[in-house]
Amino acid sequence: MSSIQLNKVIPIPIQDTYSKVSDVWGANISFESGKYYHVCAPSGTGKTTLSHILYGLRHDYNGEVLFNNQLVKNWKPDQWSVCRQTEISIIYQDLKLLEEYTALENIKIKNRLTNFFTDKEIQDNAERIGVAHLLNKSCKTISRGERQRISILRALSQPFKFIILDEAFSHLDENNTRKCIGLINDVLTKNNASVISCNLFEDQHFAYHQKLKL
Amino acid sequence: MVLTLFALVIGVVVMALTFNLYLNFEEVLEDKDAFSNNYLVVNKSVGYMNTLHLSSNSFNAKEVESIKDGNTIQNAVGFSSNQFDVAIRKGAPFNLYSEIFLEAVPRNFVDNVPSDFRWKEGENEVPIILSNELYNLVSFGYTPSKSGLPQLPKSAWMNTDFELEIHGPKGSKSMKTRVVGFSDRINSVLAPVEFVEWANVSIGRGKQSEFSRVLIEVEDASDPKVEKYLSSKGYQVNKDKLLAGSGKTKIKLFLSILAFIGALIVSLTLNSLVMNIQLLISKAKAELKMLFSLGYRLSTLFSYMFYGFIISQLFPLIAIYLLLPFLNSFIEQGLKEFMPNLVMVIFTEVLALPLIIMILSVAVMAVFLKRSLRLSVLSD
Repeated sequence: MSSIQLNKVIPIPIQDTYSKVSDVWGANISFESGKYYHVCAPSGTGKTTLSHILYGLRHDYNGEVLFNNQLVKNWKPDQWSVCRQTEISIIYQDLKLLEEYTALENIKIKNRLTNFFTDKEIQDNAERIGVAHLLNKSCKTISRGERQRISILRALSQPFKFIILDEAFSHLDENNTRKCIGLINDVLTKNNASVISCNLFEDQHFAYHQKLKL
Repeated sequence: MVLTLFALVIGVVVMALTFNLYLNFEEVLEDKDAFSNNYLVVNKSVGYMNTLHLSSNSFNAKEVESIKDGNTIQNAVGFSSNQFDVAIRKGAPFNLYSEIFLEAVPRNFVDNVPSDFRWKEGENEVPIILSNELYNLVSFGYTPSKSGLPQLPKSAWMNTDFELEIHGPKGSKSMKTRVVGFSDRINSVLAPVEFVEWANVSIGRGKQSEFSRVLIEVEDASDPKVEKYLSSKGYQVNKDKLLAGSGKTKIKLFLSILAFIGALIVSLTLNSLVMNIQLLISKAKAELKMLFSLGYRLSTLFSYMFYGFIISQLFPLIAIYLLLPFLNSFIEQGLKEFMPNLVMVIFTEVLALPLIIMILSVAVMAVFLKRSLRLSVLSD
């Protein structure tokens, strides 16, 4: 997938309240593969909504979303599954980990779909962001910041052309954020992929090609 | 879940055993012999009034016709009987001389008649069909009581020509006769109807106008309406068949109730399994949604859950196949008290039944699972 295009997309729940000066809602924008995008948005303006629309979890919007010039609104569930396995990944704001499982199991559940990383690579990546010692612990028992790093590892365990970050570092200190960004940057380069990072504030996490306001 | 599967085992086992009982006794219950079930011999009761010739115990042609009018009785025909004297004679080894009687009904009322049970005017040999009852009376009652008389097998009777002497107001005639068959059905000595009618006119007292016995054809002899109708007219009928019929009806009713209970248990458990599936899915809804959002296909999620379900169905199936022979021999032992020679086999159809029910139940579950999985995962 080389591009994601939004044509006059307005989410139905905020169609009366969205900012008319938004760079995204009601506008025509496109995200190109290999480029880095920053979406800055105060809370309540639809950051998570945008992430979910791009990831195909929400379809309650007016306007058009096109992947490679193909309308996605009426995609079948299987088309989304294939896309999520190989083209697009996401780091959720609310993490969405399976709490009953260990950290490693959570990562492997994703990795198993494409066998993107070997066990060793998973271990190495975990060490790089300081969570290797947590891999065999239940997600219930580890801290929010640690869980956030596990969910980053999970999101990276697949091939993709776009990765959506929905406040991906909100619970991390500066040091850990830097480590995670380093890892994500390496994977982005390796995949020649694009990042769409949604955050409350402006940040310098990646070498952004374009900054957008919601 | 365990209780539901246990109930499923019970339901299927009840259905299978009922089916097996039915198949084992099908021959008796359904009476493949159409004649014995559908034909009854009716007569009027004999009282002193008849003896004193004050009333008749025979049916005239009109009465025979009127029996037919009842909607339970499809056909009726009078037994033609000899209006002349008949005797059979045979030398050694039979040393037999006996006055007998002859009766006749149209060929189509007798089934499995031998092809040589025919007679045309001018022929000297008259074929007859003896009832098994009569054969038994002669073989085991009469013969042993007469010293010097041998007991003869049926084949010997059928290979012997007897002399048939008929005598009436219009003359006498000596003919030959041969037993061509034995009948369980009509307790009489049957001759071809053509012969009896010819002899009545040419030798005897003329064409017969009254019939002492009437053969009726009914839809189902075990139907209680038949007996009710006949007794309302004051006619007697061989009660054995009616009683056997009503016994059969009761057994069939019992088996139907058993089968119904089995089917009811099975359908209730299926219903409960469907609810189990819905419960399972609603409990795992968040996880399923998450797996779908990670990129798992619906079909993959379906097969994960479905294989588990198939495996859970294997245990009841194995239990059913282990229980069936055991319970079958248990029933056989119980029934042997009444039927010492009983051998109850388990029919292939019965063995196939649990498998068919399980396959059907798995198919039903698959449809429900697919539907509720889709609904639950794709809901917002």
